[in-house]
Amino acid sequence: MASIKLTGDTSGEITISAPAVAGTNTLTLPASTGTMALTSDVSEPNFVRLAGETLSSDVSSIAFSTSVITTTYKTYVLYSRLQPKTDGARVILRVNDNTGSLLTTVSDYGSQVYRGSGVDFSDSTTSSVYPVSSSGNATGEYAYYKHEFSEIRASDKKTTFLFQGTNISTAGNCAFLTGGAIASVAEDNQGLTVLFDSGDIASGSSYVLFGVKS
Amino acid sequence: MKKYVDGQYIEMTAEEVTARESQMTKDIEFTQSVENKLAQKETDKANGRQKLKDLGLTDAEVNALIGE
Repeated sequence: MASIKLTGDTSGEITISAPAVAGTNTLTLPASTGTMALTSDVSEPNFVRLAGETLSSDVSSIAFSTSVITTTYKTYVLYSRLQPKTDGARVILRVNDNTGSLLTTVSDYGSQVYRGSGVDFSDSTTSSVYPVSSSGNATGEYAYYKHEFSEIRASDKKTTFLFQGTNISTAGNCAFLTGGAIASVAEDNQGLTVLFDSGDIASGSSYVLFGVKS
Repeated sequence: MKKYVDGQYIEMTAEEVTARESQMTKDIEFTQSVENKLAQKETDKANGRQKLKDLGLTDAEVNALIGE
């Protein structure tokens, strides 16, 4: 049988059909009452997961090339939960220039940060997207961050960053910060790297990167 | 030492390790300069507060002036 037909009480009919080459497959209906949606009823997600993993090894950095940071999205969101191998290290971000070289000098970024307990930091000459606050490396200590960045692949606009972070200590204390940053030159930044300003990122750290549809 | 690029663990070359260590030295120096600036700012703030108090202002009045 290629199809079955369900006749409406008043009029018409609905045909449920199998493809011509159907293979051997099972379609299981939900064991609940409701109306099934068509694919045309389901919106495509606007928040698209591009990459993510829990690290199984210590690494010096987490980098995304133009294979991941493409021109498809203007805005990206990166969530990270990172533990440093070195106590008191800071989560920093760097982008590549338009030739793919990592930008690392104090003329490459500007950063502004408000940190809990009243620290107000503003510097137009930082060597990274710089958070001021640091994270411990004891068991249970880690840094949790959300970095949003926009126009990273635009050649005529500077890449801008918004970020929020909390550094968690074993004593149950936390250091909250929020800030913004820019890459100083408007260019097509061909990739992005997350790292600590000192030491490696510990195994067990994790991240997930999303692209945001315009 | 490994780096992690687009989901792949890659052993770094000797040149890359050297570059990373050199960059870390610069980054630690940068952080120290930031911490020094922030510490100086706190010292200036405390000194300014004390001078205002020496003029006869209360802590509440100083806080009101500096927005705390």
